[in-house]
Amino acid sequence: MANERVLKFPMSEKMFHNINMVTWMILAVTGMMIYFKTVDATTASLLMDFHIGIAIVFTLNFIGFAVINADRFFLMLRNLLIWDADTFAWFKNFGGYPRRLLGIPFGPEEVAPQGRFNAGQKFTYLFFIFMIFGLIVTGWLLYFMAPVLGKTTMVYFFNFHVWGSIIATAMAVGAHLPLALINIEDFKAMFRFGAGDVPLEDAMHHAPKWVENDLVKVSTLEQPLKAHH
Amino acid sequence: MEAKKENYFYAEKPVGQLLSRRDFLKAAGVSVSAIAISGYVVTDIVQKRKSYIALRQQGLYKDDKRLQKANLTGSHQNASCLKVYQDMGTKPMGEVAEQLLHTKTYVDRSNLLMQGAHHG
Repeated sequence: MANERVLKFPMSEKMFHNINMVTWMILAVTGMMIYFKTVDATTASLLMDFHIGIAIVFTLNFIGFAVINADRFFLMLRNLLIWDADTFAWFKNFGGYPRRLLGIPFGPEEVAPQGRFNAGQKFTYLFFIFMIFGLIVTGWLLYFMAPVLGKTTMVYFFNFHVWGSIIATAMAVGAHLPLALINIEDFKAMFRFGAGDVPLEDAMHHAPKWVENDLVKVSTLEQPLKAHH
Repeated sequence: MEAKKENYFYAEKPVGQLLSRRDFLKAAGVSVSAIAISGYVVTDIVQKRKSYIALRQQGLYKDDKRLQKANLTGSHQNASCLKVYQDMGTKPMGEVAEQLLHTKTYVDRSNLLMQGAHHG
């Protein structure tokens, strides 16, 4: 078992995640530099052109993943939308993280068994997907349709675009990234070149219901793995 | 397609096996709702705004017709305005009128500009 590994992130998900991450951060930095006026007007105008160019990649990456990898996208949504009793039970002790990381004896010691995503991840990733979609929609409306939609609507969309992205970026940098670093096997699986696999032991610890219900043994060392279609 | 030899023993079952009909409908429902709601909101806003513009246009045409009947198609024909000029002993574009009516103060209204919108 020590050497047994589980494919957690297929290439399509790694590509979507990593392109999304890089473009998101560029968009966040350029957007905040423009909004908080840290640069002069000429540079801000140039940065806005850059912001729009990167936004095209950001948008196509999301649409490409949702359309070309519709099966993985739907599976991801399915995993995020399973809110069973164990999911709610996770909130009794926040997965034991306050106890383990901060020494706060919050809730029961035992953590409710989770699926592919734990309850915190489900909540956060649903928010991230909502924000990706919302930022794409409001961003392109601000760019193309400002005169058609009118000033009141545009100010409302603009505030959603600015503050929504700042809140989501704060969550990504302040919670998502540190927790990924704590679960270092997930981090390595996501960012190493090649297969996004994690040790089976790790998967059983974090996602016992996923291992039990959703996984199948593939004899990759004996015979070629058939790509799922 | 044959995959290269990988160093894992377990992978997720094919999506078709994991995604039940109920799961599919749930995921599709959320996706379609997100697209439909945002599409509805945007078209609703555009339609309402278009209707306001049309109403405003109708009002302006109505005003024009009413004023044409009264032979008041320009401000210089307005009897009240002309009386003010007469009382002041001046005329439109006259020296006193310019002193009284033309402001020389520049008001910086850049704070009213909508920030962030890119107008090329």
